Amino acid sequence: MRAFLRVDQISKSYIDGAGGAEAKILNSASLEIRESEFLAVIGPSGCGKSTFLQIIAGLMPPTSGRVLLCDKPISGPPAHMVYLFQQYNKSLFPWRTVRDNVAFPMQMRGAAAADIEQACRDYIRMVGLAGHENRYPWQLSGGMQQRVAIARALAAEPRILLLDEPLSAVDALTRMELQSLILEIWERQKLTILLVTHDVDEAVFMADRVATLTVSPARIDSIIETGIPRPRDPITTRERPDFLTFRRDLLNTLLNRQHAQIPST
Amino acid sequence: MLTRALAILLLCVCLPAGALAQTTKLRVSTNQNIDAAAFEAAKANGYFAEEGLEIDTTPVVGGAVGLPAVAAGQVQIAASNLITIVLGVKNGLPFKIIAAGDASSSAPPDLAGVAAKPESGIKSGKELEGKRLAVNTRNNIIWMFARAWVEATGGDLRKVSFIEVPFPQMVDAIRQGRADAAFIVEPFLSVGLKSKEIEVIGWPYATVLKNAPISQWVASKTYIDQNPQVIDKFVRAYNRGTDWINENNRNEKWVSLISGYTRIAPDIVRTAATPLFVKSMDVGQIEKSIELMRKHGLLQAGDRIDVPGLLYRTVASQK
Amino acid sequence: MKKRTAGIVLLILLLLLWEASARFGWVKSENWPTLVAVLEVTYRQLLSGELSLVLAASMARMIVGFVIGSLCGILLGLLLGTLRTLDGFLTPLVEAVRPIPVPAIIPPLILFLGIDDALKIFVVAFSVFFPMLVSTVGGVRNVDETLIRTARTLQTTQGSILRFVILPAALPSIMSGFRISLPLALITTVVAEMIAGSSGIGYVIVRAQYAMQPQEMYSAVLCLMVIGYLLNLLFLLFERRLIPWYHLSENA
Ligand SMILES: Nc1ncnc2c1ncn2[C@@H]1O[C@H](COP(=O)(O)OP(=O)(O)OP(=O)(O)O)[C@@H](O)[C@H]1O
Ligand SMILES: [Mg+2]
Repeated sequence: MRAFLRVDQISKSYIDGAGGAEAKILNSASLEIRESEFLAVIGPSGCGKSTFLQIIAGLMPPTSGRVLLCDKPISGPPAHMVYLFQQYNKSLFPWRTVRDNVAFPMQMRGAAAADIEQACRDYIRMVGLAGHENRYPWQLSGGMQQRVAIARALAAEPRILLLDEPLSAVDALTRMELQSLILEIWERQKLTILLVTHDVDEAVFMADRVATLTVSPARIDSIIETGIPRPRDPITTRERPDFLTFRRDLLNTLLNRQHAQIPST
Repeated sequence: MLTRALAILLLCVCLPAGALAQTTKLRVSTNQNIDAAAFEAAKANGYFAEEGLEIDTTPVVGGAVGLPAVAAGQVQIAASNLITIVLGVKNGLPFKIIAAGDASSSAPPDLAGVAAKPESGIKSGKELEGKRLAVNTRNNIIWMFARAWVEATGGDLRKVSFIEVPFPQMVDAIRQGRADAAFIVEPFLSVGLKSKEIEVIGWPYATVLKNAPISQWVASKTYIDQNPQVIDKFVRAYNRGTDWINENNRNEKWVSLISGYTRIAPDIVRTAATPLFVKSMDVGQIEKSIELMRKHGLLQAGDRIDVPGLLYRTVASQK
Repeated sequence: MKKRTAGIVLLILLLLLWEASARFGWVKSENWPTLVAVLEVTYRQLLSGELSLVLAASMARMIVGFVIGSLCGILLGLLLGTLRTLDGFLTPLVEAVRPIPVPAIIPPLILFLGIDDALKIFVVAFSVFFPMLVSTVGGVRNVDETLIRTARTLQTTQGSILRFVILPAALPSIMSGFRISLPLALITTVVAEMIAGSSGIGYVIVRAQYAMQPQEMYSAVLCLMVIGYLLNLLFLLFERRLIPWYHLSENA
């Protein structure tokens, strides 16, 4: 299969604080994403997941390497690719109501007012927030805020969605609900999703393939294809033997690698 | 419609030309205090109008505002005081005095005096050592004469501190002990004296320089060169105002004129001392004033002031 | 509600103290009129229409100067806040000019602007400009990077980011700039009117002082206080309309 989105040996170094020393975060990370697939990238906290995903989103230039979308190198956020921030509370516009937040990308596109009205209603209903249109983000719970962010991302009509730990800050039950919601939307809208997470359970439950990032400087270590059938059910899928096997193997690699790190640091 | 528009157009073209031949508009800035009495008399009695001048008066506070406005060309004629005018000329602003304004008298009561609390024991510059003497602004005419008076009455200038207090607040400043003495102008002085809480301890003008030139009327050299006949008309009308003020000294018309434009109550106007309204300037007195400016650091040794050049021909002068 | 009553009681007590101190000669000065005399003058001038003329002249100058000064401050603030390169060489200049007190620049300004409204409006605009600039730059610098990146990933152009993200996000800070510069504009207007001209509250105050009509002066001061109070009230209403989300989210 032809690479839809290709990450080609990207490296990233940050200038570290006042000292000016360079800290290398990503080291020649490469990854190929297929059209319409759901790919999860897992890695421990602080290993460079957000950095990796923001470079793909064109929000940050890599120090070296490039990202190709349909064989064209990207520079800046490409159309039809939306990055969903880990900190949803910081990424919603506090001066805009739920409706106006969702309307934002359409307004930026210059869509007609009537179309915006209709689409807002649809997207808000899709994420289950009907009736909350006129509330401000800070009047909503964390899970509801993330739903607003999802609806707003959908309003940009993406073909690729980059999700940066979208559910790490919500409670366990809400997380499961939102996982199902995202899967439903993914299937319905025929999206390509790249999900970054440190939650192995979430990665295996949602993705077709799971890639692992090593600890710093990070690179893509291994990729596994789960082949767990869809549609996936929050309870029964998690009881499947293959689910449990993948989960155990991935946890092992992640944890072992961390154990191995301890003596050297 | 068209004919009407044409008529209006015609009117617009012809009117200013016709009007210009008859009246000249002059913008004059004044302090609206007693110094402007002759000017206000000329205005009120229609002397300017008789010369074909239409006067638009702009009040300013202090002599330091009118002069830059003249330099900027926004005001054609301004009242100021000799010290400020000389400082402006020194700084390269091309002014000329076109009319003498007023001068201090030769004997008390004068238009300004140094006052203190009677119980303070301060009688001269000597007793002011270590004390505070209020003037309205530093580096101006009041400040200079206050310094000259302190020196003339035995005080050491290095030991007297000069503080700035606006004229209207000087009596209160002495009362409340914020100043030990103040160089106060009329009518604030006579009103303060009425309360018996202050008394005059010195008359700096009479002590330092009798008949000292106080305020004058200036225009810029450029304006004078381009409109000599306007200046002639202005000064002619102004001098008639001076005559009127001198002839009607303190009669009811005089009181109501001054009370009218200053808004000071007639009773206060009646009892306040006034300056001498003059039509000519004494070159010797100007030179003495400039000498004082050098002595008190307002002019440096190298600053050359051309005294005859300061006076336009409309100011009668005497040696 | 209780707080407000206490405030009013305090105000009335102060006014009574004023009246008594002048009436019974506790404060001895020709410049200290009784409150009744002041109110009398105010009432007379209110009836004659003189007062509204004076106030209108001052308010017009203040508003024009305020609008010009704050617009310039906000626009330059947005530029300085967003363009780092411009910031490098403009900030030293701004910092050098900022501490200049308004009265100090007036005499040289007269040479260029004269003594009419141009001068007064400029001076008001000048005094308003810096607080507006500083609060706008501060507001822009404090906009969370996440908001800007969010807008970028949602395909927002640079210009739209400025208008739809940075400006509204910086608005609370800009509003606090307004709050500082509003009374400043009023004071500067009055100070400028004291220098030259024959209209406005500043002129009335100076004229009354030199004419020894203190009741007229305090009547003008009283009006000034009322205007200041009303302006603040108006501002709070305006702020509540413009950034309702800000105060509410602070409490949330
Ligand atoms: N702007 C920056 N300047 C310097 N260092 C940075 C910057 N952004 C991130 N880093 C560093 O890069 C490393 C990776 O950060 P990143 O946010 O990509 O990690 P992450 O895997 O997303 O972490 P988390 O699981 O906490 O979200 C961290 O050590 C972080 O301190
Ligand atoms: Mg992260």
